[in-house]
Amino acid sequence: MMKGEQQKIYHKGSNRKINAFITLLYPSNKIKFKISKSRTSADFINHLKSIGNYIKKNKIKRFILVTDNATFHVSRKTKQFIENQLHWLTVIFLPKRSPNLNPVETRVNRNLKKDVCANHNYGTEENLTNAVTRYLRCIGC
Amino acid sequence: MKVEHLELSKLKKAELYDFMKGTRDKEEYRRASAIKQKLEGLPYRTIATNLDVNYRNVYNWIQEYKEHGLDGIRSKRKNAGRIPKISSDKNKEKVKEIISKSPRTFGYLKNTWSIRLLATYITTILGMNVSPMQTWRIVHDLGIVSKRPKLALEHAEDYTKKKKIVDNYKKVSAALLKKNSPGIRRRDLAKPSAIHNQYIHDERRATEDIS
Repeated sequence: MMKGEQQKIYHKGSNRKINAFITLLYPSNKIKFKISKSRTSADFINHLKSIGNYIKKNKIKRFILVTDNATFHVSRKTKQFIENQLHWLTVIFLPKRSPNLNPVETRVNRNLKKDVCANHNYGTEENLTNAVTRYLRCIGC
Repeated sequence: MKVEHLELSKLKKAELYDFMKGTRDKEEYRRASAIKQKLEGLPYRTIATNLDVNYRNVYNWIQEYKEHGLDGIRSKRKNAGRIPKISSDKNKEKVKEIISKSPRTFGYLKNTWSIRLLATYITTILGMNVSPMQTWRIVHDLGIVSKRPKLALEHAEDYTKKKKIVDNYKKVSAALLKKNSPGIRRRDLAKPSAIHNQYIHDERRATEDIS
């Protein structure tokens, strides 16, 4: 902007959010993600099931998942689900309150918030989800 | 030997000293310093030896200063140096047009321009390698500054109207809920200007009493 001016971004009073579950795949650096309106343990289990389908397609023997300690990662429902999937899945939890160890946080999440979410009014939730999916598909998967 | 003296007013002296501070050109500075030495009362030949020039040059500079003022001293060189390819006037106008639009119109998934993003886009247009530092210079010459955009409500007027009504209602309800309260006078709620007028009236009366 010119000196002394400031850009204005108009928005509605409400700020409804959408949630995205993101996993980085090693060593291919691709991204698997699932977008949902809520973030309960049922949504997280849905995301894990989609990863299971991906593994069956590519015939991968074992999948090691490294997660942080969000409430829906540690809840009773998800623990029960993981115990039944032990033949292909092992879970490692990061230490508490250490987002610097999580590469999703630094590599994907930061740029996504900066480029897509900040300083723009999408109007409806559909437009926002479309923009997020377009952005994440550009990066990988 | 008769020595010619140069005398100036205070304003013109201050103007000359400011000119000496501000110039980046060494020739302009040399001419101005010759005039400054002349003001102190030195003859032409000693000034010439101080500045390593012929005394006729010193004479000519001072004559031109007497006729035209500071414009006589300024260097008359134009069109010197290489003509810029990237930061020419044509390209600067292009950059100004680009910045006025959002980067989404050009296919980038970003909401605000950054210098690096602008540099990558300009290289595709011009077909020349443009560094981020070069783009910063162009943007800086145009007088464009990066500033964080501000959020604003779409229908702000409706929002403020409704908020006034709600705040008024809260005041009344709080007063009514208190038992044995004197209550709020209607004047306070409806017209805030009434209180202000009362204040002015009291003040005016106080001043009249003193006089």
